[in-house]
Amino acid sequence: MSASPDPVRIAAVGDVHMGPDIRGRYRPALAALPEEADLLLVAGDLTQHGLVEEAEVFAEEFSDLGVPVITVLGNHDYHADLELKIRKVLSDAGITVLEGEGVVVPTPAGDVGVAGAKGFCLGFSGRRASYFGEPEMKAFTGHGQHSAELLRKAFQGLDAPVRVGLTHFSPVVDTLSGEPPEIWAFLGNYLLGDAIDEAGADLAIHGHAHAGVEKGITPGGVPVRNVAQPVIRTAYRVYDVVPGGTP
Amino acid sequence: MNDVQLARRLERALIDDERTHEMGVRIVVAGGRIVASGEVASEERRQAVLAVICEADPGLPVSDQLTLASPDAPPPSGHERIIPPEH
Repeated sequence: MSASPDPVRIAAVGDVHMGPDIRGRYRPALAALPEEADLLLVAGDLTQHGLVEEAEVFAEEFSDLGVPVITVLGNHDYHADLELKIRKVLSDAGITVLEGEGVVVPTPAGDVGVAGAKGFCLGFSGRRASYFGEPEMKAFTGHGQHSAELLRKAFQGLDAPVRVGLTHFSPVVDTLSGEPPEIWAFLGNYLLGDAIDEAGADLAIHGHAHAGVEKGITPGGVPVRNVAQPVIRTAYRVYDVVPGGTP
Repeated sequence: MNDVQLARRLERALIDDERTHEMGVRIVVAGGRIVASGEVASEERRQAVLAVICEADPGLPVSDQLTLASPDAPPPSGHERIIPPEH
């Protein structure tokens, strides 16, 4: 009997909402990361108010950890219209920021492909916004649809034995359990789930739903994990994914 | 303005105010007082929440039932083995 292949160890957290007032909170807890995981994914809302100085604090906490750090931005990171400057602060610190792009990370257990996009609101089947009516409604719905296209594009050409979708907004309703159903349409977007299923991803990671739950699954059977820090209540979770999909 | 309307106004202020942008703070107005609950990340953020509430409605006493997140993120707790679907 052949031994099982080694898993790729994917650490993940989201919604750390960094600011000068909590400088130093995460870095000590991240010291053991190289022993625990092959890479770290951060699922958006890196900052509280979307300010450059908060991004600098995030970079202090999450750079040079000994493993690649790959992020998407969240809605908080866009609030001050400084997202491009935030991206530059992070890139200059060696942190990858994805928006409609994919990246392949080599690990001892094989390559991991990460497709990333922030995502956006829209809702879920039977209770979603429609591209109809006022221009404001079309803009809202259109942005949600476009965000899923960005995720789909991010998966294209992403060639790796293990492929992960990284978003801020949720691709499924499962992980929103605990949030009021009235706001689910503002927390996620089923088209993100469709993109993950169509890509044949092995795992989907998201944040944003602070009152949700950690575990869900797409209609196509892809495991979904909500790693919003108020949900996982730890510095990060580690998911061991076996290349090839065989346990 | 009734108690429910006041609570919604205060919650909106906490989301909109540049000092807070807090979406996880719950406000209940009952018995002639304002109750603020939910978790915030630091003492500074707690004080900002209380300041926004007091400025928006200085007329009622505020019951501070906010909780602070742990000052140190705890270490991770084990690994979960993920079984991807057959593609």
